[in-house]
Parts: sequence; C-alpha cells; structure tokens
Amino acid sequence: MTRLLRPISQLSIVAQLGLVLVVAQVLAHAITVIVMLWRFGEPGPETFVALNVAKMATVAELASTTSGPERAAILEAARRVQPAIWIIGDQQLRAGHGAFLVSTAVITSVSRFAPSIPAGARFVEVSPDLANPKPGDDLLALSLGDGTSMVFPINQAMFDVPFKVAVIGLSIAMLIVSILAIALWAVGTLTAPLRRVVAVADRFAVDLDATPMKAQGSAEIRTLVHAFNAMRDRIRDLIDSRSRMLAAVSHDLRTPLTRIRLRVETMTDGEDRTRILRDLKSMDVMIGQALSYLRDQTSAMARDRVNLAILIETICTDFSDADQPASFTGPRNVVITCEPDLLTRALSNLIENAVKFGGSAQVSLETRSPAEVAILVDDEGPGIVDAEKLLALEPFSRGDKARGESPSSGFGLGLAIARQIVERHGGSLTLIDRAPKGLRVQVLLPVERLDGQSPKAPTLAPPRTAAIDNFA
Amino acid sequence: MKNQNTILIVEDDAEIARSTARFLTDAGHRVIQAGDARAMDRALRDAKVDMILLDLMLPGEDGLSICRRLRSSHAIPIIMLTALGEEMDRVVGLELGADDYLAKPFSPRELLARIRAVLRRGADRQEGQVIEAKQISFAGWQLDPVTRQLRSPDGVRVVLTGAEFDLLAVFCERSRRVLTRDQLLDFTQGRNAGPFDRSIDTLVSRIRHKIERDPRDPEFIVTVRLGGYMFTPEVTSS
Repeated sequence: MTRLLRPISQLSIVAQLGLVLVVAQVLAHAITVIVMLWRFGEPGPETFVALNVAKMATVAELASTTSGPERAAILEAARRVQPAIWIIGDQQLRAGHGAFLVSTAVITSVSRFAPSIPAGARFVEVSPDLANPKPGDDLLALSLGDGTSMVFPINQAMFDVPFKVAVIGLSIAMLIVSILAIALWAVGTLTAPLRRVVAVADRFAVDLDATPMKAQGSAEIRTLVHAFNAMRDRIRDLIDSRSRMLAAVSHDLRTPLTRIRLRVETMTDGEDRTRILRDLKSMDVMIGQALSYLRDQTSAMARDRVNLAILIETICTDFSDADQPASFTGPRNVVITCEPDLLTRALSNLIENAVKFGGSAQVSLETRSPAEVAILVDDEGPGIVDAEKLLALEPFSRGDKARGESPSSGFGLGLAIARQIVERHGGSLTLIDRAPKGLRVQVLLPVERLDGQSPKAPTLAPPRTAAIDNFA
Repeated sequence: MKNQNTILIVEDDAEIARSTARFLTDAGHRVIQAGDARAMDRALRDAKVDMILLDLMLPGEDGLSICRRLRSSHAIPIIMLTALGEEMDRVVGLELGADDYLAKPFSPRELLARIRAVLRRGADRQEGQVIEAKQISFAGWQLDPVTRQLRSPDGVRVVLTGAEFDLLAVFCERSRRVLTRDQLLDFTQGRNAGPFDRSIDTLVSRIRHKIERDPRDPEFIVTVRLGGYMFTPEVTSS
C-alpha cells in the first residue's frame, strides 16, 4: 500500500490535494447514489411513465369538466409540457386500435403512482393516422366522457437510457472539472506561503544574512517559518563562532611565530638559522592552509565576471617569475562567473603541486561546451597510483605522502582546498593518469554560476555562448 | 637616510613591538611604541609621526576602526600588520585607507622595504605627482588603485600581476607623456620591491596582451622611437 502510494506522495502538494479532493467527491457521490438506490430502489422507466400519466390524468379530468374554448385553453397549456396530445373520437379508437400493448409492470406502477387514472383509461397502439408518434411509443387514451378521448404517448424519449447516461456523465465531469479548478486555486493559495518559504530557504543557502522570513499564513506555515528562522540563527551563530575561533587561532598561533621570526633575525647566519626559518615558513603555510580550508567552506562568495584565460595566465606568470616553470596555452578571452580570489588559490595549489612533483606545470584551458570550460594542469612527475587518488583529494588524509612529500611542506591540503573551491563553484576536479607518466588534474567549471541556488542566469543581457573569441 | 623618519608602532605584543622597534632603529628610523589606541593618540599629540605600523588585533579599539578614524583626521601613511592574512582583510584594510598591508609573521627585511616604498609614495604625494583617485578610467577600462583591480569596458575583471598593475598605474598617472625605460623602472620600483621584477619590456608586452585589441599593433601603450613608451588614452579619475 505504501509502495503504491509513494509515487503519489512525490507529486506536488497541489496535485496531491487536488487528487484527494476529486477522489473524495467521487466517493461521496457514489455513496449517495448507492444509499438512494438501496432506500428507494432503481427508478425504472415506469416511474417516469406513471408520473407522466398522473399529470395527464389531471389534465383529462379538467378537460372532461369543460368544453369549447375553455377546454381548448387547458389542452393548449398541457401541450406546453407534453406537445403530443390528440383528441380522438371514441369511435375512431374502437376501429381496431384498442389493444393493450404496455407491460403489466407499467400498468402496476401506473396504478401505484397515479391512482386517479379514470376508469375509462385505455392503452392504445400506435396508429398511423395520428400525427407522427415515434415508433415504439405507447399511447394512452383517457376518455373525456363526451365521446372523445385524450391520447398521448407515455414513454417519452426524454427517459431514454443513453440520454440519462449523458446527463449523469456530464454532471460528474462538470463536478470533477469544477472541483479541480477550485482545488488548484485553493491549494495554490494555501501553498503560496510554502513556496515563499522555499524561495527564502534557497536564498539562505547562499546568504545567511538575508532578512529572516516573516511568519504569516496558516498555523503550520508559521510554525515552519519559526523553526526555519531558528535554524538559520543557529547556523549563523555556529559560523560566526567558527569565524571568531579561526581568527583567534590564527592570531594566537601567528603571534608567537612572529616573535620567533623576529628573534631569529638576531641570530648569526648559519645552518640553525636557515632550518628555523624553513620550519617557521612551513608552520605558517600549515596554519594558512588549515585556516583557508576551514574558512573557504563557509566564506561568502563574491562572484564576478572574470576573464579566466588571463587569470590562469597571470598565475602562471607569477610562478614562472618565481623560477617555478609554469606555462599556459589556450584562448585569450574566456569569460566565466566565479570568485577570482578563491579560484586563484585553487589553481595556484594545483600548479604548485605540479611544479613540486613534476618539475613544471603545463596548464591549458579548453571550452568543452557553451556552458562548461576545462582547465587541465599537467605535470610529468610520478603521478598518483589509483588507490591513492581519492585519498589525495581528502583533507588531512596525508594523501600527498604517497607522492613522497616531506612533512615540512604543510598538511598537504593543497588538493583538498582546490577541490573544495572548485566544487563550491559547481565544478568538478578529477585526477587522471598521463601516458607515459605524469598526472593531469582536470578542473571542469560551469561558465555561469551553477551551485543549485537559482536556475536563472545572472543579469547578462544576451544569452552568451561562453564568450570566447580570440579578439586579436 | 638623509632625514630621520619617525615611525609609530601600535602593537600590543610587547616583544614583537620591541624587536620591530630595534630593527627599525638599526635601519635609521626613530621609533615610538604604543600598546593600544589611547597610547597611540597620546603619541600622535606629542610628536610628529611620519608613519604608523598598525596591528589589526588590538585590545580595545581594533586596527580597522583606528585606521578609519586616523584617515578622517590625518594624512600619515599607515601599514597594517595582521596575523589573519586573509585577502578580505587586506582589501578592507586598504579600503579603509591603509597604504599597505603585511601579514605576520613577516621578515624585518620585507617590512623595511614596504616602509621605504610607502614613505617614498608619501613623498611623491607631497610633490603632487600622484593622482589621488578612487577610480581611474581610460577608454572604458576601469582601474581601482585600492583593490588593485582592472575591469574591461564590458565589466569583466582582468587579472594583473602586482608588477603589471604598478606599471599600468604609472602609465595612467603619466598618460600622453613619453616615458623612458629608466623612468618607468624608477617609478615602479618605489612601490613594489618584489624580487621578481621583470624588465619593463616584458611587463609592457604582458599588459598589451591583456588590454590591447591587437597586441602586435598596440593602441594604448605605443613604443616611441629611441627607447620609451607612451600611454595614449585619455585618463580620467573620479
């Protein structure tokens, strides 16, 4: 049962409530019909016939007590309800048209519903003399007591079964359509606050300082909003306290480092001094790495439209200026939306690793599709064996130990930081073996922001295809 | 040092303040120390100070707040010292009016180089040579000297290395004048004493690559016969 209901439970609330309303209404309808049938029995055609006959009997009774224009007026009025009424001489009726043709059931029910039928009532067969009664119509003749009879059909087309089905079907269809329309409107109105909550939740996902939600709407929605605002405050407190802690740790660790750094300055040049300076440097790098890894997880992203080609080229220039060979190949103008400082840190880490393990870094930029660019950082170092690849991307995993890194070079957070930054941009980072040797770090980045917050592109007037051209 | 500069160190860690003071004294500067904002205010009242080394994290009023306050009343150059070392802090510090920013732990040599650069710039400023501008623009490009960002006419950020930025800034400050390589070297070295400065020609070719429509046929930075360059666009500052 639950398994059957699961697809339904995944529909939108509007669809679910609409479905519930329709099913409930149809059920209520069905129950009403069943109760009616059980209580009163099926209203067969004879019920309608009897009602019709009873009405006509009243007309005949009135007509029999009048004559001339008065009778004509009564008949005229009756014909508005029952157009086929004829006055025929008894003589004519007797001339071979007097046989009973309707079933006993009809007669029984006629007498049940219309006890006032005059004794002289007779059922007559369709007569070709009469003005076009429908074939199969039974005619009833009621004597008016002056040698004439009032003749009329007793089973009208109105009670035909197909017509009944059409009427009932139409009414049910109308019912469902109107319920659906009302349900959609009502449920849409009811769930509007819910959709607002979702929209604000989406905004919080990017910006925790967004204004808190207003608690309005139904009791449930208000409860939800309160819970949500409380959660947001809690998350913000956690992040705030973490930022304070990071700042304090950073400050408290770097202050003694600064003291030592200054003390070392008074030492005479020599082996010890060099070693201490190197250790100080690596401790500073470690603090910086750990802090930036922790901070980058939650820091706000100041996105900007950036020429990625020039950004990468500039990083490579900075490296090669520092005698760390890094080269760049690719187009000259590739504009993407990103956080340039974070991306610079990520790419610097990758290039630094490539230089460290492979002697040099070859960086290239390709556009894979109008929506995606690929940055490839290649080296010719020993690479990373498959078993270590995933580990190498994990923070504090010592994955880099697999590459023979000395303990003095930090936590080995370079790859983990790069991966975290790339993923915050909605991209991916993969390690690929190169033939015959070496490692390729492949970074795929969306051209526009794509971190699941908003499917809408930022305010760029024309739809852009990756904005790539060699404008030379 | 022809004339001794007075440097005020605002730092709550006594040992760091003392050691730094010693190096600066050895380098020929006169040094005053202050442990917090109030001591700093007193020192500023009592003496003529040429530069302030300001720690970011201080007991009481913090460095950023002091920086903002000083900027509204003094023109004294400020170098911020911070143990946070985050890009954001650097930008905020510079936007609040600090002239430079140095992360702890720093090497005294680097500190001396920065002090020299900032003092030199201060001297330039007094001669009225430097455009004091929030935003520099040329031919639709925007150069922000505080955040050190360059933006193309269609608003795309174009990243420059430190040396490239400094050279472009020098060009903007002295546009439509022929500048020799020696002059350019002289103007840029004062501000960025990085050990990896490339020759002016290399930097010019890199900047051309980033801003010229056709780097082989440059419109902005043109080569002038007999050794020199000229920055041709009209430069406005706001």
